[in-house]
Amino acid sequence: MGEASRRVSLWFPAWSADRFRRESSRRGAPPGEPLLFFGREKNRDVVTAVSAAAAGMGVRVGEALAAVRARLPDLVAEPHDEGADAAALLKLGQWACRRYSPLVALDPPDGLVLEAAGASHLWGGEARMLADIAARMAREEIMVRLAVAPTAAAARALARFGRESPAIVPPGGIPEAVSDLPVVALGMAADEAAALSRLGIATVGDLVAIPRAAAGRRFGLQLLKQLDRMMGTAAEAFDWLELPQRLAVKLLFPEPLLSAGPLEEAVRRLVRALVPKLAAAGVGARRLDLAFLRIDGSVSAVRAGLARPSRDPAHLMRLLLMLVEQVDPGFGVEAGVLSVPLAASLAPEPVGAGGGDAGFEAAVDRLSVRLGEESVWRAARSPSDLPEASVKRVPAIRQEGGRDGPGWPARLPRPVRIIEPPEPIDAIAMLPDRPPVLFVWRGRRHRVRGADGPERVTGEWWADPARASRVRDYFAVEDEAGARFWLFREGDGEDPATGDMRWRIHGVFGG
Amino acid sequence: VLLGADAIDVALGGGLRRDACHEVAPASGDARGAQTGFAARLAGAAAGRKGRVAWVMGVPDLFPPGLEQAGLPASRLVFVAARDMGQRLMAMEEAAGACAAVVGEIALSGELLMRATRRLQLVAERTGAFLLLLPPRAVEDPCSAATRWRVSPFPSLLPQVRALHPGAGGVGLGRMCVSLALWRAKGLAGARTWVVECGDGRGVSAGFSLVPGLERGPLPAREQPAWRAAG
Repeated sequence: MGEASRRVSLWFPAWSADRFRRESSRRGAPPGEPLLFFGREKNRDVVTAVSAAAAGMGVRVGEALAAVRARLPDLVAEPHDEGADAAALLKLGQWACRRYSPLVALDPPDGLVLEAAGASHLWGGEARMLADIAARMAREEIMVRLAVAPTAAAARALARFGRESPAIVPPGGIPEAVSDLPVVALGMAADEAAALSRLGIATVGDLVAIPRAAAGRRFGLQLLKQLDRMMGTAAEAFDWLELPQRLAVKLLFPEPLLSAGPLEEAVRRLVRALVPKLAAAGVGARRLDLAFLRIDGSVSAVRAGLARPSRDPAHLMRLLLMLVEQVDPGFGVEAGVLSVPLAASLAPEPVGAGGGDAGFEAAVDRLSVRLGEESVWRAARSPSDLPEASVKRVPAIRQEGGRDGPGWPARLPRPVRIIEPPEPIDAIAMLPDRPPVLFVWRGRRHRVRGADGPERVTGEWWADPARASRVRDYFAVEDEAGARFWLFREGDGEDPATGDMRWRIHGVFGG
Repeated sequence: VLLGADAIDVALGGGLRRDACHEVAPASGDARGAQTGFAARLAGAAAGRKGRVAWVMGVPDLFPPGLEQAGLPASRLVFVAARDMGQRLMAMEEAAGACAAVVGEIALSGELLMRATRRLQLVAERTGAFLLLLPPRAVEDPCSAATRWRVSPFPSLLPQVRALHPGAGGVGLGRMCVSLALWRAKGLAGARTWVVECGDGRGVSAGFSLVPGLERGPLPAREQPAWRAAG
């Protein structure tokens, strides 16, 4: 696996505005809307960037500031600070490098490219990794559009011109995914694109349909080169960000390594070189990045996460050796770098003597590496009365679930398996506040011989206004075979806003 | 690992063997809850106060508050989700080295089931972990588990008042009953079935007790109890 690139493009459509708003809010003075930025061009002020709200009001980059001001008198115009934009982008890139992937490149002025191969497994797959990026950016109020594809050029184009975000293009799926994109997605100037469209070439697909030699003659080799980069037939070069870090070791190999055996030996040597550095710093690794530099200048990198800081060489080697099979040596690997983007202090006691739980944490590490961090979790209580929201998953590698927090109410009956979302059932109840005497679920009739309830659960206005007024009455019922089910009816029978009075099944009891 | 009902623990020769692999299958379509509860109680008893439990599954639909009520506290429990069956077996092996008990939702049949259980049995013997296999449905294919159980719900002894108001709410349900059919066991001949009540799960045993009125203990599979016809 792993050898094929999976490049993620992050595009921040309102980067200047989002960046400016964050920095102003931190100073306690959030700016108003519509917000735009201007720069000096040929002796007049021209709009250079706009916020999402301003874009929604029809403000376009390139317009004269005076004209916009005449249309929207209460707009907020700020001089465009491109240096601050770039500095903030670098910071965001370094953060992404720590959190998501060892290989992150800046895509100025308003984007990032990162390599998901070798890193997305920590998230349980690309879709989950992209979902986490989207959630993080939403929390930080940074607009983002995401795409992942075998080439960065395709991912960039889809993030900027594609219909949906996040877009996930499977290996080999580029031609189909990009064919409807406008030709500007190839990164050409607007007037060139206009010239092409006069010739009837509006989309990338139109361009691909033209015989290559003719296209090269008519539109220039530069355009063809762009097309090849997007399709993956020409190489893409990146300046991957380097995190400022002290904890790293590098090995140069006298002969390029080509096979798994020597690569594994290189991993062992790297770990043996790193462990004394960790010990000297009094820390253990929480994350490990292993990068192999190929002789053609490209990089293949993998990342491992640990539940508790460790500098046990055997444990670190085992984790990395599980990942090294994903590394494609290509034409040969000439150097290896092992670095620690995240470390935590570790007392200088003999390694591996962490008591009975050290073995458990090590097993959690290995499972998290193989299956993804999100696939190995503990359950913790979440402060909600809605049953489905009362449990949250904490990745086991993150240790937060270690303490015994407050548990769930022990006296209210709770099922061992939950049916989420609750499934509607056909039920017959004698009275509105009585449990059903009969219900049909998935085509099977269950005659109720006993019931417990009702337990009333109300929606939480502070969590989800849409469900605020909902009322559920839960019953535990036993059918004639002795099986017990968790049923509820939503609504109080008077106010339709409290629910539709339908019966639903939410779980099965285990005794 | 003790079930708590003396008659069963004695019949098993001192409870279920700890360093072994046991299969817990649902006897019918509606037995998934009973199967899950039985496994949770056994795993909780195997882990005791200190041990860890890993639950390996495909679709994560377990509800930790309910598992806690069955004696498997969330602080002891780690969930592992993997779609691929091979990964689930790998995860069980990996967890066995670090946990007191490992529950695995594994759907295999034929030769694959035999091979996987033989391997898990060896893993259990090597690590001392208590392994439980939870197939989605009962299969008759040979397997190498030390015991094979078929679990189904069983009509419980409802509080007497209830009979006056069929389907009335608020009266309470009392303890759930399950029928435990020991379908195959190494070193024991013949299938046996017990009906037990689920008690409070905490403690050294799984908290089962034989249903009052059915103290006669093992009854042949599929026989209906006398009190049910009378009630």
